[in-house]
Amino acid sequence: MFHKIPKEQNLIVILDDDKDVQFSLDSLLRSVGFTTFIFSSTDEFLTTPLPPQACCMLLDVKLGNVNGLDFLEEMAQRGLTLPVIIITGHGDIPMAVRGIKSGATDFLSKPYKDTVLLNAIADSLEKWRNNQESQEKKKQATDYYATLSQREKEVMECIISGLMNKQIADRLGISLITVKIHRAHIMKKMHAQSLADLVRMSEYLNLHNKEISRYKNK
Amino acid sequence: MRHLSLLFIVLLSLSIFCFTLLPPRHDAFSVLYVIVIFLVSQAASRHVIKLIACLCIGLSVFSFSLVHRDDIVHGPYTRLALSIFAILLVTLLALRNQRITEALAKQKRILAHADRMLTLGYLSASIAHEINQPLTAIRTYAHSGVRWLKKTEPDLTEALHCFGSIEKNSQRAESIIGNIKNLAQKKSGIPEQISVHQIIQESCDILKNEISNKKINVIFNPSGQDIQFCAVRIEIQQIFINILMNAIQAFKESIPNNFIHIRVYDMTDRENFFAIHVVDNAMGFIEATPENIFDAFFSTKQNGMGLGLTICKGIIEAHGGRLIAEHNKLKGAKFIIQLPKHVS
Repeated sequence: MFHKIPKEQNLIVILDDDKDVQFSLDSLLRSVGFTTFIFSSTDEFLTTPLPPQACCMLLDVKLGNVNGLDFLEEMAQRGLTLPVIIITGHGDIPMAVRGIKSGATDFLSKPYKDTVLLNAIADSLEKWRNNQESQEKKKQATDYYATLSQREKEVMECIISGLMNKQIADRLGISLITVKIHRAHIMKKMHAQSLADLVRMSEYLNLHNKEISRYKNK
Repeated sequence: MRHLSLLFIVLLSLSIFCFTLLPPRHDAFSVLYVIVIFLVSQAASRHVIKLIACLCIGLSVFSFSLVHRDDIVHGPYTRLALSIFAILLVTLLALRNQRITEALAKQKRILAHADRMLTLGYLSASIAHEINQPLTAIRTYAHSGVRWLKKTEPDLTEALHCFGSIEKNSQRAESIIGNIKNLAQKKSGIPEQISVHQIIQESCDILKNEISNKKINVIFNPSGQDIQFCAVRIEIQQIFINILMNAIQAFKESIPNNFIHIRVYDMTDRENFFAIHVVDNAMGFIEATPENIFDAFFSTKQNGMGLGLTICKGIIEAHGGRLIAEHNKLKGAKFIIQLPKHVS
């Protein structure tokens, strides 16, 4: 069965070597409004470019001569960040532990109840959306941050560490008024409404420098 | 063949009868009826043997009464008694021989069955997985069918597709169970026409999971003409499963260059025979040698009975064939099965 790559959101990728299981999953997921993208082998999956709407993957552990868990690790190495739900016919605890450690969001054993599967997919979707949002925010913050001058970057590092203007002026050896001007520029360039906003953005940029502190070290 | 031997036995009996009708000095010939009983006992059932023995005694007494009808009182009764005694003795021995042969055959069947059960036990995890697949599909289709029907605008085409697929998958589960039932049955069945390619394929299918677990590449390209031969299906399947499973278990690591190569061809040096080569690149014979590998109760496996290959060899030899083990030239083991296309 050939599926056109759908335009809408919520595309679920199915990777299972058993045709009957594939098509039953396809039918179930379409009945609740998802679109599916089916692969029978890992090679097929790796050679086909994935549409950006792909938001969750159902991965069987047994894929012919390939182990699904090995493949999950390979995916991580290749930088594929799709949330993955592992489905297996004969799961045991070591397998589940390995799956979750390798980054799977859920681990289901066959045969599964439809609600269990759909809940797992809903959780994965949530995770994907959050991931997607934070990716966007991170990108935005990085873009804004790139517009700052070197001095402004230094000042920003001090601000998010909680230093007062006086302390910043003292630390960088500039006047208080200059610090205030830099500060105003930073808020404007980073599109931050408040100091809290700026701090949140800095989280995405991983700017926090533990050596800078408002209080003197003991 | 059968008719010919029957004719021979009847002719033999008649000629013995004629001999005993010759002048009195020939009446010790009735001892020769033991040959008839011996020949009959090779193929006939116990009742038939008993019946033939009675007939032979009857014929001896009849010819005796004909030859000595003038002097029925002073006839050479000792000679008659001796012939009858000899006939009875041979009958008894033939019956006992047959009983023991039957018991032996039964033991062999029980042993072969036990070996098949052991195989099934070993395969149980794979069998569970195989049945789980269609079961998963059935359950998912059932859920999805309900969802298609429960929609505000029920989609009947999709729902019908779900029900059709449920039917198809239950058939799939049924056929898996059917295969296992065949292996588990006690009776070995009657010889039938078997396609070599088909039976090898079926055996590989049964071991599919074991093969993929060890990442083994099974190279079996059924190109060329398929060979048909006459044998008991379940016994032949047992041979293939046993030999393939030995090869699979010989692989210690799951690495992509593991392979098992199966080749089928007509033998040029033995007419009416074909051969199957099963070659692997696993560890080969460690501790074992190609000679002692067929010995009963010899096993290098931790919980092996040491009977699998012994039983295989027995089955193949009962079919008139040969089973040979060799070191593979580079690495691993090589098993050669030679079988006749027609079993007598």
